[in-house]
Amino acid sequence: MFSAGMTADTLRDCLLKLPPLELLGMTLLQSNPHVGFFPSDVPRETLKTAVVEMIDYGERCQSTAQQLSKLAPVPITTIDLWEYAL
Amino acid sequence: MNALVILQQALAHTINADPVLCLAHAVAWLDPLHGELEDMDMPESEDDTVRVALHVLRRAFPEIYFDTLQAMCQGTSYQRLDHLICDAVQAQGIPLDNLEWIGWGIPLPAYGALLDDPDFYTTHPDVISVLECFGISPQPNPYNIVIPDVTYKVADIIADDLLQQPENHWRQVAWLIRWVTSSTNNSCVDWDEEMMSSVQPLSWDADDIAFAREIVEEADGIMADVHAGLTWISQNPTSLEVLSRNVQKIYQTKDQKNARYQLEWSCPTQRDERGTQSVA
Repeated sequence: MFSAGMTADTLRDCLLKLPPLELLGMTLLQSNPHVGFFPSDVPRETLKTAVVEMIDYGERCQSTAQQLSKLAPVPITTIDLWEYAL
Repeated sequence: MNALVILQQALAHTINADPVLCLAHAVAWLDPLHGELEDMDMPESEDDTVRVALHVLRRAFPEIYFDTLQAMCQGTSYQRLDHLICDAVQAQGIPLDNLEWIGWGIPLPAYGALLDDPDFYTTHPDVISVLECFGISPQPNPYNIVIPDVTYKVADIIADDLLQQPENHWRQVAWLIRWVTSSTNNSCVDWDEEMMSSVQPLSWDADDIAFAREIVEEADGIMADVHAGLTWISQNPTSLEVLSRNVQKIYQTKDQKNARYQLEWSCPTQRDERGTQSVA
């Protein structure tokens, strides 16, 4: 990835260009005017879809986080690292 | 609308206008236990049991998971949660009677008949007259009941022949015979509770749930036929005599090679006669 010219800045730009995530649960919260914090009149089938989607999304996030935590270290050869000498 | 409600709505509106806060809001609403259900040991308390149940429901039945969370938010007691979850899972075709069992895997009914167990004759006295047609009886020694293999072979021949009969009552009797001889090929019907508990339960994966539904549905159908057949033959002494006569025909030829016999099943609509193969 880095040998192809990808820098931290370009990676950040790529990520920022991703379209915003649209989850049904968020849409229901934003679009349905309701009393209290949670809507109570959502059709059951819609609610089921929203729960399944949220569970899937949460598990995908967890899986991604685990994969990222196990990435192999990337050697940085262009930076001089000063050390104490004796 | 009072000030508190207005304030709450304004707060909710502000939260939902921010994508990250809205996502957190949606998680709190739909999957609040996200990430907290990974380590699952066998339950030692009611709280543990509910935790295990949530873990199972989250993947297997998301809508029941959500209903359970809603009920928990309202402070529902353990007993009511137990009923709520068991009823909802039963409505999905899985016979969950007690929440404590949910962590073990899919519970399955066990209707199996144990002909060599004296207790079977005590708990099923209505079957004795049918069993006597095959020479099976808890007497004279109820503590040492041995059913010879030939009895199972004869029962198999009789059941096969009955399943070919046009009269529905006789086909139901066939299932009755298959049940008492544990030869329906349906695990729920053929296995008793001890046998069922010695086998690794099905998991709560989607494929296993579909498989369990199929087994349970078939078992319910077979047991309905078993009960109908038992009721009919118990109320028709003539039919019981016909069954006994046909069983004896097969027994009488069991030592003859290539023996042939005709089974006759009298019924209101027609008389069916056919030859079948020998026992040996």
